[in-house]
Amino acid sequence: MHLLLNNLTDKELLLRIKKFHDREAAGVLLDRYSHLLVAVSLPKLSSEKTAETAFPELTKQLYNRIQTAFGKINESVYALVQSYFGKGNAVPVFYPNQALYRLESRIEHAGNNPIAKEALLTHLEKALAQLNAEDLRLITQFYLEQQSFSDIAKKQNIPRDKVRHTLKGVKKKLATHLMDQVYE
Amino acid sequence: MNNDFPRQERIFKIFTPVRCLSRDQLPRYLNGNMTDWEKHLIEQHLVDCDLCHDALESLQNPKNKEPYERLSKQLSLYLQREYAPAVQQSSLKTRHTPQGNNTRESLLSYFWVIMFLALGGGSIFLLREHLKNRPALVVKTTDAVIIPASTESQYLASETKPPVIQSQYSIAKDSSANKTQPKDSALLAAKKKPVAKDTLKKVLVTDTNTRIQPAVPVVKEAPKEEKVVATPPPPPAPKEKEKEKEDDPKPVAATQTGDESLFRAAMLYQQQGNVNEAIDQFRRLSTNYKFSERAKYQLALCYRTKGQNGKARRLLREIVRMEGPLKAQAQSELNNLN
Repeated sequence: MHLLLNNLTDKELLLRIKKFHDREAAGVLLDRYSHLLVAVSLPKLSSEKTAETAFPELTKQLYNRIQTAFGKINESVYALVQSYFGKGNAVPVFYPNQALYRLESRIEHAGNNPIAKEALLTHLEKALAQLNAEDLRLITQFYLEQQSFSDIAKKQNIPRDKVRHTLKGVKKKLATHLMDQVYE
Repeated sequence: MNNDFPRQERIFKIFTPVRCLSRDQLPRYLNGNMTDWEKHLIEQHLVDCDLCHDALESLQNPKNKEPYERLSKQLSLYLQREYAPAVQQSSLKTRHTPQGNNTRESLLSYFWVIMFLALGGGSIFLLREHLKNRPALVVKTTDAVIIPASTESQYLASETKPPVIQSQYSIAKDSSANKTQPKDSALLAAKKKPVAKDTLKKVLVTDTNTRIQPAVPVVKEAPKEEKVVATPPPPPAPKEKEKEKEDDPKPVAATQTGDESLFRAAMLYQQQGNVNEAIDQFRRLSTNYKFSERAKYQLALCYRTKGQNGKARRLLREIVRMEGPLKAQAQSELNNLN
C-alpha cells in the first residue's frame, strides 16, 4: 500500500486525506516533504526549539493543516515553518496566488487540445507584449533561451537571487494580466 | 542546452508546474551533478518555490550538511513509525470484522444444515408412520366386504338410499317397519353418522368392528345401557347374562380383529395381484403366533407367483416343520415346486 501511495501525486494524496482521513497517505505526503522541512528548519533550530521537539510538533501541525489545506503543499510547509520559528505564535493566514493557480490549471487542462492551446497562446503572447523590455528580456533568456540563473546573473551583473525574484514577479504580472483578460 | 522545442511549448513552460526537489535531487543540485536540462527544470521550480530555495540556501552551508542527513533520516523513520501503526491498527480492525462475519455466516449455515436434517428426518419418520398406518385403514375398508349377511343386507339397503333419505323420517319409517325390533334405532343412529359426516368409508371402518359381532345382542343392549344412566338397572335376564358373557371377550376380539383384518387385506391384495403389498402384510403377520402359519403359507404362494421359488420353498418347509393344519397343503405345494 505504501508503495502504491508513493506513486500518487500530491493532489491525489490530499484528496485521500480529506475524503477518507487516510493517515497512511498523510504519512507519505509528510515524508515527501520531510527532507525540505529539515533543511529549511536547520538554521532556525535553537536551544528552545530543538530538533527533538520541533520536528514532531511541526509534522503534527502540518498534518492538522493539510486536512483543510488548499493549494500547494510546499507553500503550506513553508508558511508553517515561518510561523513556527517566527516571533509570534499566531499562525498567519496563507493566501496562495489565485491568478497563478488558475493559469497553471488552465494550461494543464488544455493538454493536447489544439484549440484551447491556441487560445491560451494568443493570450500569453498578448500578455508578454505588455511587459517592459527588461522583464521581457529576462523571461526570454530564462524560459525561451533556457539560460540558468547563474548565466543570467553574470550577464546582467546582478545577484542570483535577484534573477529569481524578478522572474517570480514577472510571472505574477503575467498571470494577473491574463486573468484580467479573461474577465474582460 | 536543448532548444528543439517550438516557441509555443516554451511559452507554456512558464506556467507549467514542476515538483519539489526530491531527497536525491537536493544534494545533486548542490554538487552540480545534473544535466543542463534537469538543472533548468529545477531552476524553473525554484522561481516559484520558496521552500526549495530556502532549503538549498541552508544546505549550501557545509555546517548543515551532516545534521541534515541525520535528521532527515530520523524524521522519515519517525513519520513512518508514527503514521504506519495507526494504519495497521485500522487494518486489523477491518480484518476482525470480516472474521466475525465469517463465523456468523458459518454458524448460520450450520444452523440451517441442522434444521434441514431435522426436517428431513421428521418428514421421513412421518412418512414411515403414515405408510405403517395405511394398511390398517385399508383393512377396515375391506372389512366391509365381510359383513355378516343379515346386517350386510340392512346396511346395503340403507347405503343405496340417498343421504337425504337418512333423516328422522326415514328412521321413523324404519322403526315402524321393524316393529319387531324396536331397538334398531341405535344401529340406525350409527348409520346416520356417516351421512352427516359425508365420509362413508371412514364410517364403514368404525362400524365394521361392531358389525362383525352378532347384530342382535348389540342392538338389544344399546338402549338398555342408555336407561342405566337415568334409572337403576333392572335385574338382568338369563338371556342377557349369556349375551354379556359373549360380550366380555369383546376387547380381545377387537384386538384380534386388527391382525385378522390385516390378514384379510393381505389376502385381498394377493387376489388383486398386488403381490408386493401382500408380501409386506404377510411378513408382518408371520410373527403373529395366531396367523403365523397361514401368513407364511400365503407368503410362500406370493413368492411362488413372483418367481422366487427358493424363498417359497423355505417358507413351505418351515410350515411343514411346524406340523400345523396346513402341513399337508404345504407339503403338496412343496412337492409341486420340486
